[in-house]
Amino acid sequence: MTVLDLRDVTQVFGGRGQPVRALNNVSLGVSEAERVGIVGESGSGKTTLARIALGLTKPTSGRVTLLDRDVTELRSDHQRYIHRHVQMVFQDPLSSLNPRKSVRQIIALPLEAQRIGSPQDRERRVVELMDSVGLPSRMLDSWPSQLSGGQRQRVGIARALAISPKLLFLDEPTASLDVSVQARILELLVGLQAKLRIAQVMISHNLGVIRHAADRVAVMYLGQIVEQAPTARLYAAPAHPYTQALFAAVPAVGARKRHGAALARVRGEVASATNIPSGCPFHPRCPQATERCRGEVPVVSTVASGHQVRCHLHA
Amino acid sequence: MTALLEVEGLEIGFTDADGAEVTLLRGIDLALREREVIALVGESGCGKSITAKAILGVLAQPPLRIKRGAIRFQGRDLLKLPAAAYHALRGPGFTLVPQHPLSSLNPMFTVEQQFFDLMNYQGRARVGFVDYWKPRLSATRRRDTRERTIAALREVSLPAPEEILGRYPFQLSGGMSQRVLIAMALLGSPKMVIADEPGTALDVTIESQINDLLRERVEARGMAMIYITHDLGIASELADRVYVMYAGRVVEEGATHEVFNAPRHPYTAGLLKAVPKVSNEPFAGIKGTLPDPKAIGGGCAFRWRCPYATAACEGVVPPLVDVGDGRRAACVRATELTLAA
Amino acid sequence: MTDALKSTSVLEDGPVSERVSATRVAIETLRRSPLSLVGLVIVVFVILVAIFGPWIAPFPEDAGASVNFAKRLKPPSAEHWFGTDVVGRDVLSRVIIGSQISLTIALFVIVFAVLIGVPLGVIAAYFGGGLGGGIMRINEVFLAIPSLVFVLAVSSLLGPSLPVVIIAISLAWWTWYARLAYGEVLSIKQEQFVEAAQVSGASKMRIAFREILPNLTSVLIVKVTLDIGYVILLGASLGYLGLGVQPPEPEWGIMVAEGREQLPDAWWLTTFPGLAVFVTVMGFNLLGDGLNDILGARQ
Ligand SMILES: Nc1ncnc2c1ncn2[C@@H]1O[C@H](COP(=O)(O)OP(=O)(O)OP(=O)(O)O)[C@@H](O)[C@H]1O
Ligand SMILES: Nc1ncnc2c1ncn2[C@@H]1O[C@H](COP(=O)(O)OP(=O)(O)OP(=O)(O)O)[C@@H](O)[C@H]1O
Ligand SMILES: [Mg+2]
Ligand SMILES: [Mg+2]
Repeated sequence: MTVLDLRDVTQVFGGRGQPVRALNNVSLGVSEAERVGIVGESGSGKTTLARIALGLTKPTSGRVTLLDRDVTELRSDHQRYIHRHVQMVFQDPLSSLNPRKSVRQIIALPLEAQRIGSPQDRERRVVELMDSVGLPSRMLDSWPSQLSGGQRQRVGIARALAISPKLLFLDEPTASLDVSVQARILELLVGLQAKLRIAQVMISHNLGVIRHAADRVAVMYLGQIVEQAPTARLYAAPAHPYTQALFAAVPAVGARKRHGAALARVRGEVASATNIPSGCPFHPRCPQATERCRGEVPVVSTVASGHQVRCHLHA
Repeated sequence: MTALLEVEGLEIGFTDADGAEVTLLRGIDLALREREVIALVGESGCGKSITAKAILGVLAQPPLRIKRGAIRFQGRDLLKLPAAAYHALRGPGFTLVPQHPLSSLNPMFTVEQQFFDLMNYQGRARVGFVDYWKPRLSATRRRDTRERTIAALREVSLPAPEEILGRYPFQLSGGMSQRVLIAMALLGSPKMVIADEPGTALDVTIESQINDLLRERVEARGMAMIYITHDLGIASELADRVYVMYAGRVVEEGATHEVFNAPRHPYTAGLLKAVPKVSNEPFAGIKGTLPDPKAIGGGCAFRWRCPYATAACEGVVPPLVDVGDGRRAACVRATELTLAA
Repeated sequence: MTDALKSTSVLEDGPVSERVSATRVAIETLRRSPLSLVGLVIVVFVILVAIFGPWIAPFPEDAGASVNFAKRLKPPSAEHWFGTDVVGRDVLSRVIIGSQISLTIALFVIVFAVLIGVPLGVIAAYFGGGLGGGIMRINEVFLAIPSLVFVLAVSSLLGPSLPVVIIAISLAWWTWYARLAYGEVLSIKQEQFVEAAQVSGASKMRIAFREILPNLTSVLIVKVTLDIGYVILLGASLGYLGLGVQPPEPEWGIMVAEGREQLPDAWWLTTFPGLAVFVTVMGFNLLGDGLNDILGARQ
């Protein structure tokens, strides 16, 4: 069963200056209990994608379907419906917590706002959630300003889990967590999938995290999904030059300090969403770019079962 | 090489609502030499950001309080410095790349306005009327500031800097805000930068470009840097030495690749095992959580979670002692254990 | 859900709270800023005087229209610390009891202004659209008229009395609170926690008043403290001009006006009520500035 279906979604931000093309015809489906990973360049539209799925912005064009209901229009009944089933862990842990609310109030908000359970039930639930994200209950009455970065991030995770959603968006949920706590959160997410069949979309820059947090990975570049494949397949045989560059850039633990730019890595001016290059948007940075890449927009081709890539080299 | 920054026995705590004393930093010793990069790693909540803020003099005091210790920058004790002199050090002396990019930019001003203020008023405790209007009314000054801003933004691999100048923070992605903050921190060519998890919202290709930039600043312009990170890979790649912190103390210190290849403290070893690898190797977190600062008492703060804990770990707080090869560890069994990385 | 969460649960700690009390922070900061401490002392003193006025005033009956020509225009003495007025009433008693009037005006005006202005400002900023635009247009109309002129117009229209003074000043004052709330909410609206509350399923009303509004408390506290001083000043000015509370009430502005005719001989008639206004207004201002430092620094 498909939980979420985004069809040909385009998002253009207007306003003063040049329009920003944050998403360009993106389609993505998430099935029940599936874990999708999204990696991609900074500014490639990952957060925007999540905000559209959550009914926080209306896409310029395209359709959003949640559990067989078209929720593209921003209407309050649609939003109620979305927020009963979809929750999100926001990218910036500090600004997504109300500075005037205690940890207890923050985590209980979804339960209170959606009138779930009695006050005692909620209290019990909050304590349980604190526990499961590894926050000591002595912090229940702390203010966000008194927490460390990773503790704030875990409050955000606990809040998103408060009601049992069908789909969970996680925008860099482990960025401020040390590897040990991170490991525990990843374990928790596996449990949510296995036992509660919660589908998850994890946005992360950490390829190690995505490896363990996703069944399928979509790679984004300048508002497009440029490659999509089952996780094991993508890690074994990345097809798009951008994906290959990502893997090449992962630093190894315990390696000797690197002096200068020893490794080959993608160079060149990073492209901007206000002025998307002609042809393949990656061509200015691509080491294998040809004349064709400059002029012609590549189409999606399937290189193996479930493995799609948008690149002339694989056409 | 002389020490640029020395932190000695830094203790920070606060009085909680019941009137009890809570100690968050329990005596931190750090040394940063010129042109050196040190990494600060450790469990979330162990006190890395507080240490950074204390050095920069931006700790929330009260409620937090520096109880003991000294912070010397170029031989001057910062804790005894008058406010104006401290202020003057920010910018040319040291700067911070803050931990949370989205909440560290002023939401009401465009990127250009924030750079303008930084370039024209940084390091001053108070800006008088004339000082405020002079740069604003000078066309050359405005143009000059704009050009320098664009150059700074380009340096941190931000695409189309001219476009970004006019944007408000909410119109930037997480990684863009982060790069704006890095550009701000590097602006005045500071002697020392403290970067608090600066790469969390950057994809690895851009992160490595930023790291190249930081390394270039260190090697070509003699900048020193404290790099706080959870990414042990980045720490290996960037830092000469690493400090591993646990519950408000440094538990291990040494040359980065040595510490990561042959840890001497069980906590460091546990941390290394918890790194999720790109290859599908198994990994596992350390059991348990950071102890309540009030419950640590006289023993090793890691004893509840340590697979090697013995009765000896209960009695005394293990001091950070030399374990050979210029390395130090705070574990009573540091020399007898063989820990796998 | 419970099971999945339990499976990864890891905890072993006591129920100790790490909450730092806000009062402790406030006290510590106040201690470092002596001027605001002076303000606090004055404010507490004035409030106590107002509450216990009838008991501490040496001649409480002099607050009204009592007449005692035998003691007419006596300069300050051991019996009458602030002297007596043209009809022999004790000035000290009148100043003490007069504080009740000034504080009553200030209290009601501020309560009305906050209760009307803040919700309107919050709604205008958070909901925006036609409703928000409408609210802010009305606000601008009120704002365009100087408050003293406005109050003069209202009280000359309805005839001067205490309730009219309160209503008149409130009508002029709410606009400032609406403006303040409007500006603050516009910037807070951008914060991600507002979106997070939306995703949590909170209604618009709930977000506006229970998530955003608490973030206004510190600016509001500062503004209220500073404003109390100004409202007292405005009330006294009206009394002085004969457009506010009417004699024989021991209102400070009226007392200054009445004493003016006896200058320069009976200087005490104007000096002491004037001083009362000055000290009270200054007290609230000093405290307001101190609070601004405390609450501003915590942001
Ligand atoms: N409200 C807005 N107005 C204008 N432009 C916007 C707005 N929100 C986002 N953008 C732009 O849209 C693009 C995509 O932003 P988005 O936040 O989705 O990126 P991201 O993939 O999440 O990046 P990161 O990994 O850095 O967080 C960026 O160029 C950003 O500047
Ligand atoms: N104002 C405060 N009042 C009370 N406790 C505080 C305050 N600020 C921080 N703490 C506590 O101090 C400890 C250390 O915080 P710090 O922010 O330095 O952690 P950190 O090492 O940077 O962690 P992270 O990696 O998660 O950012 C945390 O346990 C936090 O709860
Ligand atoms: Mg993002
Ligand atoms: Mg931190």
